Amino acid sequence: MQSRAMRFVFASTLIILTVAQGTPAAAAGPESSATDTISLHQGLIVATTADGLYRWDGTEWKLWHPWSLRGVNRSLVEDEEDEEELEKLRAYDEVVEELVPSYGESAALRAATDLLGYDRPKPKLRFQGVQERTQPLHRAVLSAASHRGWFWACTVDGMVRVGATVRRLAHLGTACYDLVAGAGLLVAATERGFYRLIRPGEWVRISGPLPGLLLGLGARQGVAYAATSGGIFELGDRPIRRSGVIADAFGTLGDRLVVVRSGKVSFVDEQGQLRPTGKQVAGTVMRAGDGSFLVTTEEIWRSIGDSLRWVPIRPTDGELRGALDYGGLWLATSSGVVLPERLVEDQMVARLGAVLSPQRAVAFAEKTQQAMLLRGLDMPKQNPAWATWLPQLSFTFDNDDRRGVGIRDLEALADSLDVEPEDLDPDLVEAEREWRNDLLDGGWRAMVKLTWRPAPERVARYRVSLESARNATFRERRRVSKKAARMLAGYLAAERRLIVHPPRTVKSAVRRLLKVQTKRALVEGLLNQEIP
Amino acid sequence: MRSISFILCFVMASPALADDPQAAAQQILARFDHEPDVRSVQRRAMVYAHAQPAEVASWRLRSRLASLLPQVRMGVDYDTDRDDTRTFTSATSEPRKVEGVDEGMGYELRATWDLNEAVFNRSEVAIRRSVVNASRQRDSLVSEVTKIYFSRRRAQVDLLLAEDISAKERVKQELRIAELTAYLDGLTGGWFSKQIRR
Repeated sequence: MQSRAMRFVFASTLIILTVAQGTPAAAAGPESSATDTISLHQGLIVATTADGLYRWDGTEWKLWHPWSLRGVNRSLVEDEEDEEELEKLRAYDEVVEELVPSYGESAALRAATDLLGYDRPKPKLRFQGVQERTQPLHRAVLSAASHRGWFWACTVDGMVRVGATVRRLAHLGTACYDLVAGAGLLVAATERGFYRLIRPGEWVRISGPLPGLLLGLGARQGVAYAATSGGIFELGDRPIRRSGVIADAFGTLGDRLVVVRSGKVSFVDEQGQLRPTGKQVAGTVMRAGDGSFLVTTEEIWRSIGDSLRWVPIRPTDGELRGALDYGGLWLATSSGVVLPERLVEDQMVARLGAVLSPQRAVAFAEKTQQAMLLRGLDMPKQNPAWATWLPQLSFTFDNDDRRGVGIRDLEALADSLDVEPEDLDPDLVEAEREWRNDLLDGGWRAMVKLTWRPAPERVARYRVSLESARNATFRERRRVSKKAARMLAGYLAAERRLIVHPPRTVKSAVRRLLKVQTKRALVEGLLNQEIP
Repeated sequence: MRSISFILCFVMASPALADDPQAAAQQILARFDHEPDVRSVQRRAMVYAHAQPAEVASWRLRSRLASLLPQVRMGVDYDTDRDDTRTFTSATSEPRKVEGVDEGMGYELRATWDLNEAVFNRSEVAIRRSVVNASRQRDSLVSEVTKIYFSRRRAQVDLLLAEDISAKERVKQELRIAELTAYLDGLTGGWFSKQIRR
């Protein structure tokens, strides 16, 4: 039964490797090629790909150690040849397994080569069935961890210990299935069974293969656990079945064992009972462990205290494979590593380009600009220096009428005429009175006046105040743009989440619809117009 | 209670809606269609607070136009001057007396343009600062109105969907709705309640 299960596992691995062969591995490194894991080792971020280990040097990925794992750069072989090669491989591994306890790993390999007359053949792989060449590359490194100053990688070619050099631990097995590291604990699962590291270079075999298909390893309080299709086993001195729970995926979050069944996440308590979290994950679980992340092909969840929280991430091109929180969220995906820096730099582009369609992004950008104009937030372009050299123009019109009225002395007039004043001719007297009203002087004037008042000191003052107003306007424009982009991203994320994770109850649907409406209203209120 | 029964009956009677919580939620929210929508409330609050962006933007236009209009000065002056001249022709005769009155009336009209104001108006700097402040205040107002509006709507829906709720809780929830309504009234000058009543 056991051997049948292990054969099934091996066959599954073989299929995976066969598929992996279908897509040629790109040697571009984690920038663009499939990255299986991302973890921290001695203060440096290490990413594992099918063609080697890469370290982040602060600005770019540098190849740390190249390697050639199975399923990479292999040519197609005929069926007969494949069978023959597999038979030779099996024979070689069996001999090595017998010799390792007495000879040690290196000597056992040399002795096996001498005995059999050939070096260990690398398994040649072939396509099974019709496989599309465009199918995503499957993982070559299933798990990796930093432990006791070494970097350990669980690969399809077995366990690998990485330090100054890369050493393949062939005596543990030819294929590694999972690896778990905990406080003072490192346990690897291979096709030969479960091994625990005692000290560097010395491994002890805990047990042979457990019944059923291995689903994953976990660790809690310094004890390793393995989940198979037969239940959950504690890997102490000997395996003890602790629970009959059959999981789809198994691992550790914080210091708690976690299982995923039909997308539902539960913790396993000390008694082996499931404690559901009420969370439902989408996609296939890729990793449950390596700190606090539960990574599926589509989502990332973070364990915070007793709860699990969905982590919002920007849409990635490929499937998710790993995550690391180190100065930001680093994502290992089947299309390369997504850097936090890139997330920050591309934040606006992603919000306006990736989240929105290009047409909607353009429309939104236009609306933002329009909102700026509506608020009167256009940048000032005046130059006060010109204003100072322009004159003050005044146009003046005035009219001045003067009447000089002289009243001649009637007595003097009568005297000169030698008559009494009373005897003066009335007509003459009347004429004298009219004469009073005669216009003596009158005129009007028009004047155009230009006044220049150049004052360099005043110009300088204007310039300073205008510059200050310009800065204030610029800061406000930036605030509005940023707020609008953030609010729009929030609105779209809420809308997207409503589609991706539809509500299950009417009450939750109402609440989430109101949330989406609130976010939309905030964007529209900010822009003072309808958004597309 | 009647509302709850209506909703539950409605959801249960429509198998499609029971299967699709979103459609049922839309139906529930549609029950509040008679109330003013959030954009209207936002606009009204801005009008009430004189924080419409267009109004603020018009300040600058007005300050520019102001520089095209001249400073006009009109003046009228009037003066009068009385002269009394006595001329002695001989030592014995009476002096010849001539009386004279001078009257002057002047009008002046002066129009002055500050051409430099058309290029750079000093008040623009102050207006720009006011525009920035108004922009912030406007955002804060719109955000506040929006949040209160949807808090009220959530409270309404909660009350509508609440089953087996005690009288005390119901009163509490209704008071909460009344409080938020009053808050919106305060921000819109009583317009919100008038619209609901209508």
